Amino acid sequence: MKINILFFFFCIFSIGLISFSIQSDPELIEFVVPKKWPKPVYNFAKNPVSEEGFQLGRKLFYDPILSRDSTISCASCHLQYTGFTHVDHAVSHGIEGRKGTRNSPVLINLAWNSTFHWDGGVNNLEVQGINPIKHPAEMDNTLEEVIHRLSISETYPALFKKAFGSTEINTSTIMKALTQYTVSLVSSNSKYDQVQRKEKGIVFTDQEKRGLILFQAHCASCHKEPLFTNSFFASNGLKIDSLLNDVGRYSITQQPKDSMQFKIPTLRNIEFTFPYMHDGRFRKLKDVINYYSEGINTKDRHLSSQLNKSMNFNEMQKKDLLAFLYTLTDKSFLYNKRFSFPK
Amino acid sequence: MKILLLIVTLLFQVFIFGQENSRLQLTPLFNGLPLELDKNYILDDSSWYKFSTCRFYLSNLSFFKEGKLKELDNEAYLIDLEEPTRLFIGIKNMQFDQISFSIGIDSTTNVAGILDGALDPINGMYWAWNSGYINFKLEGTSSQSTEKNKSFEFHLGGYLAPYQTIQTVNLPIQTNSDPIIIHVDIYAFIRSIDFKKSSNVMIPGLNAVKLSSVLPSIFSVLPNEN
Ligand code: HEC
Ligand code: HEC
Repeated sequence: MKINILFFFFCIFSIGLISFSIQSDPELIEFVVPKKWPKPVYNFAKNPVSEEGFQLGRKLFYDPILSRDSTISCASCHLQYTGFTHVDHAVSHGIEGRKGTRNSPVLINLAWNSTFHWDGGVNNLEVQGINPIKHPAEMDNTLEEVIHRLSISETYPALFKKAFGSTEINTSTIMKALTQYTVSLVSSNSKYDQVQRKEKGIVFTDQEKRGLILFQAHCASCHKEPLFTNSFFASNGLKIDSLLNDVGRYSITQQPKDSMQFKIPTLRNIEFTFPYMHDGRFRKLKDVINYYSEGINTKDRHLSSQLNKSMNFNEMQKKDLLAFLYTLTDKSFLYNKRFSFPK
Repeated sequence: MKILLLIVTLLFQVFIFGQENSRLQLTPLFNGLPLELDKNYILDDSSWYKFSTCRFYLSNLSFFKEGKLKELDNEAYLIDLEEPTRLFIGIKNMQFDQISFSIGIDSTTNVAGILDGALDPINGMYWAWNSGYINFKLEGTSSQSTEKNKSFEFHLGGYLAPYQTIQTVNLPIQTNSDPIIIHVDIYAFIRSIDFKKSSNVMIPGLNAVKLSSVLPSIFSVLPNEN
């Protein structure tokens, strides 16, 4: 008899729970794929983006609570107005000024990336966030500590409940929230895009047109439109830095053919994402173009075959190419309030 | 009404408890002796071994009867000598004469993004910089180690071709004991290691593949004792 009564209350309780959770279902946001763009690689089905999840991820992204000494947030190395990269630092700087070995990459159109990091070592956006949290030269923290801090905070448990239906915070919900934010960082409104969409009154200048033709002839095989990367790995012939000794993709696959191969980065917003390359060795976009034009050692045995003929651009061609690259700047992305520090 | 509630309660219980009523028990050994952490084992050749971590994944547990697949369990189990409760795997009550399982995590799971429970990266069986699970982890100290502090660390994993490390084990079951005891004698594994060449394997690659290929031989089920 007693058991039945207990069970009865249990039923009422569960019905209550169910209806409560129905009531506060997070508000899903549809991920919009820009016209004529390929399908995203990220599997949204497993982690549908909601307004609550996005806002939670955004808060986490800007919160130094994730780092051991609470000084560094994701945004310290990924600043919005520079395309979410670490402006001015060749290699990233973490807590206590510790230097990493690589330039922080931009966080742009990550939904289309099939691998992450310069060597492609990370195979899914959801698991990327474990790296900066644990890396001694980045946030130098542990997952246990992060979960603990968030769980005893005044604000976070309620936010996790709104986003994921439970106040319990674990690795999975933290990573999913961060992902909901970073996967939403889509830049598709540069002048280049507006011209592609044939928006009224927007046309390339003659100089930009000439630049586009040069780009398509010499660069687009790797920096493929519209994402300006084909997601593969390549070597553009950069000499190895003997201090950093970074062999790129080889450290992940242990296969000789992958030695000195790095992930081909997107060139969107390239005007503002300096310094350039995996070790930030070029400070100016002009330096990059000079390098491609006459700096490549075409005998380098790791060099990808697309680059084994010297381009030897003249001054005008260099300016044309630069002018085209500037059309990839998307101010509505770099200054989008929705992505900025949450107030 | 009362009866209805009673039936619902019973059904509920059957649903919750009815499926698992038999168990597999993993029993780690070293050269036939129960494997205990931090205990010094001395072999006949006077080499010694002390283990501090012994942890591995079992997955794709399949049950066969006369060659026919009866049941496939998609769960991944983290077996950890440090946590005695993790040495047991609950299984459904059924007739079978063979089981097979993978040592480690398959490639689909390795690329599936963030996962919970046994597969939560917080369990220390995950490489973040080279995303993927560590299938098998054995750490300790030994007279054979070439490291200054005599330590050894074997973190075996890797799912990318050509360095896949996941292994499959087939075990005939000729016992009706419950739990069914699966011996995991790491002696053969230890003996296969060329400590002079490497006392540490911490990344995917050829070494990890070679060492992993020994793992299936360390699992065995003894026939009925009585
Ligand atoms: C100390 C600087 C630093 C901090 C803090 C930091 N990152 Fe990064 N981030 C980097 C560097 C450097 C890389 C490239 C790593 C590599 O290639 O090995 C990177 C790479 C990434 C990538 C992969 C991008 C791509 O296209 O390959 C993502 C996503 C990312 N970070 C997100 C985050 C998030 C989320 C946080 C906070 C949890 C964070 N980062 C904190 C420096 C940092
Ligand atoms: C063979 C493929 C390939 C071709 C062709 C190629 N690139 Fe690259 N590009 C790469 C790779 C790989 C990197 C990253 C290299 C590194 O950091 O080690 C890169 C990096 C860059 C960067 C720096 C991006 C950043 O975020 O740091 C710029 C700018 C760039 N390329 C522009 C160009 C231009 C302009 C052309 C044509 C003149 C071109 N690339 C042709 C493969 C290529």
